[in-house]
Amino acid sequence: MFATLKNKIKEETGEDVATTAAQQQQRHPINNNNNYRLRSRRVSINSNSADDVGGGGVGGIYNESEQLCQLRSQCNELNTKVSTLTQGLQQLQEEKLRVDKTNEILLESVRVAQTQKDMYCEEQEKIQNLQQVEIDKLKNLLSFREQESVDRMGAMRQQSHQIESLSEELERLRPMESVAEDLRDELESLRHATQQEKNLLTTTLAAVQEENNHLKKRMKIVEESRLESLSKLSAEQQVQALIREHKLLEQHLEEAHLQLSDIKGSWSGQNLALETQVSRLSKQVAEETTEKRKALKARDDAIESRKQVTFELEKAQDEVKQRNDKVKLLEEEIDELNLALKECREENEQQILFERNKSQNLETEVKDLKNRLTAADDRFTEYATNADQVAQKLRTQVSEKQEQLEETIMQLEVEREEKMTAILRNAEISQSEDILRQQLRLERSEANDLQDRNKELEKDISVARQTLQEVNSTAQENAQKLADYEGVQLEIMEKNKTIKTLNQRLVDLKKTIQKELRSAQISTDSESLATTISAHRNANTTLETFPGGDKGNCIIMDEVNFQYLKHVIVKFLTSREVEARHLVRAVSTLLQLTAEEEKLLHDTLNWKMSWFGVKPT
Amino acid sequence: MGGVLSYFRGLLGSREMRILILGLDGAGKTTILYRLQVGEVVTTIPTIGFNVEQVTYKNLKFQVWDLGGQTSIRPYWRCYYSNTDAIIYVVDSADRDRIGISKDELLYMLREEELAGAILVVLANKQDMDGCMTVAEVHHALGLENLKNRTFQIFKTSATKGEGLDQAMDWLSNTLQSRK
Repeated sequence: MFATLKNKIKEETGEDVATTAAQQQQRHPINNNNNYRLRSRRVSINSNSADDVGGGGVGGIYNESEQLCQLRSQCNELNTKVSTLTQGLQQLQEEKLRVDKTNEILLESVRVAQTQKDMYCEEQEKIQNLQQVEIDKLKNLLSFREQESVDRMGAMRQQSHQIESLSEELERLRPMESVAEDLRDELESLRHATQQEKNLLTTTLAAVQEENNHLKKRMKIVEESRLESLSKLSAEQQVQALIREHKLLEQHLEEAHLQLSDIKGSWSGQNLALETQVSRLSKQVAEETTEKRKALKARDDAIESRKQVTFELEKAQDEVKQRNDKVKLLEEEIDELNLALKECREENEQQILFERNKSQNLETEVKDLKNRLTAADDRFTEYATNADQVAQKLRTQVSEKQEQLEETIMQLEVEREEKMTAILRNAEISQSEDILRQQLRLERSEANDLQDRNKELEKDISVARQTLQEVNSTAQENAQKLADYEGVQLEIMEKNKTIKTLNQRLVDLKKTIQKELRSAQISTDSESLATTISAHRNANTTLETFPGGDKGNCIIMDEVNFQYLKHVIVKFLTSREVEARHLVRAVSTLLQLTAEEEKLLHDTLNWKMSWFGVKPT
Repeated sequence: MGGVLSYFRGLLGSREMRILILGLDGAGKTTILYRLQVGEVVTTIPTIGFNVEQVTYKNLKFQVWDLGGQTSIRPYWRCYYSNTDAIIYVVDSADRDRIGISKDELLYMLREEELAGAILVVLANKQDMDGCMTVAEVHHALGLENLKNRTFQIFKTSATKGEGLDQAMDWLSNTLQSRK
């Protein structure tokens, strides 16, 4: 909008400026020329005046008149110049006004552009503020996330440390396992040995018990044999043999008991040693198993914790990934926002630059215009000063010229008067001569004519005298007639008076007659009364009565009657036949038609109304 | 053209009743005529001459002639008397000064032989004016009580207000139809 306006202004002002400049340029040389011409003319005039002074006389008048003409033409030229200068002045003023107007418009446009610029800047600031706020928010979020991720990483590290310590312990516990296995193997071998020993002992015990059983059987057999021997020997021998045998047996038993107790003692010692050994081993095994269990537990715990840790790690890693993704997204957003911001800034900067350029352009234009204006003003002032100077010069010249002119005019008037008087005299003389000549001729002809007329007039006079005599006689007659007429008028006046009185009487009479009529009611009387009334009415209206026609009716032809006649005739001519037929009587009464004429009207109307018949004549 | 129309009208047999509206000047004759014809009050000027209009009232056609009532043209009334079916004589009820003249003119008119068969309707007009004469007064002032051998009726009217005209025209049309 502003651009177009500006362009328009530019175009207009540019064109105007160009044209005006051209005009001014054109004007300058003319002025110079005029000045030059003026000077030259002045010189010539001066020389002329000098010549005039030298010459004088009749030639002087000529010269002066020429001079006068020249002066007048000069004066006119000067006037025209002054008018052109004033016109130029006006044009310059107009131009100045126009330039001022354009300047104002441009200033307004600049103001508007600045306000727009401010608005843009404000908008940009707002946008930047908004972006900053958003970026701050995002940054806060990011830092928060980063801290979270850092915390997670710390936790992860701790867990990994734990895992490492646990694995180290595991490594440490692994050789212990091998020892435990050795111990177990030892324990097994020991058990195996003890079992073998035990089996051996049980076998020996079983052998002993068989021997014992064998011995018991041999004892039985011996007893039986003894009993048999006893039965064969005497009682004493038998008792002796028995006591001997008993003693032997007791000895054997004791020996056996001893032997058994010895074996039992050795075995119990062995058993005790073995039991101690077993208990020691079992203790050792229990310890080892507890240790092993502990180690296993620890291992399981470690594995579980490792699993947990790995799970947590994965979780944390996932979270980290998610966070990273989020961070990436946020970064992307930030980048986008930054990009948008940059774009906005660029746009705004571009706009600002554009606006600045515009404003600069406008300012430059304004400056140009101001410069132009100042230049124009300067020019104008120059012109004005020039014009003033020229005008002053011209005025002085004009005043000089006018003085000269006045002088010359005075001289001229004097000369003219003289000349005029001379010419007038000359003309008068010549005219008088002509007139005298013509008069002479005329007088001659008139003399002739007069002589003829005289003769005619003499004749006329004789005739006139005769007519005069006749006229005199008629005048006398007329005077007599006038006297008679006056007498008649007097009589008429008297008659009028008498008529008025008579009218009053007639009215009285009418009333009385009407009363009588009411009583009498005779048609013949009424008719006579009607005639008397009509007569009375006619007499009453006016004195200027025309004698009625055949019917004896008197028609009064005053203004009203004339209008009435006109109206009736017009109606008669324009109305339908049916109506016109009723108007025949009125027309015939008004126009005082004869009975034949009335009948003709009637017949004509009837003929018009019917389709048949012959036109009546 | 008019001849043709009137011829056909004659053939059809519906003859126009010829009515004259008479009365002194300024009695309201023209106002009554146009009140009858167009049903409106028109501004009138003194009639020098006459007005003739066709008025249709209850399927009866009247050819109504309103004749100027000025003194100088009153003598011409008699030119219109022939073939007249009815006379509407209008009296200015407020004009007490000239009621006598009005009476004289009425009587003079009724004496005409051509109007011997004409029905007379007297309209005591301008009943809306203050101080006007009543119907009885007008009746008496015109000496209508002495009127004989005449079918007549008097009505009080106000042409400007349109009062009484319908009654008068009703009576007139009924009387004319009954006489036919």
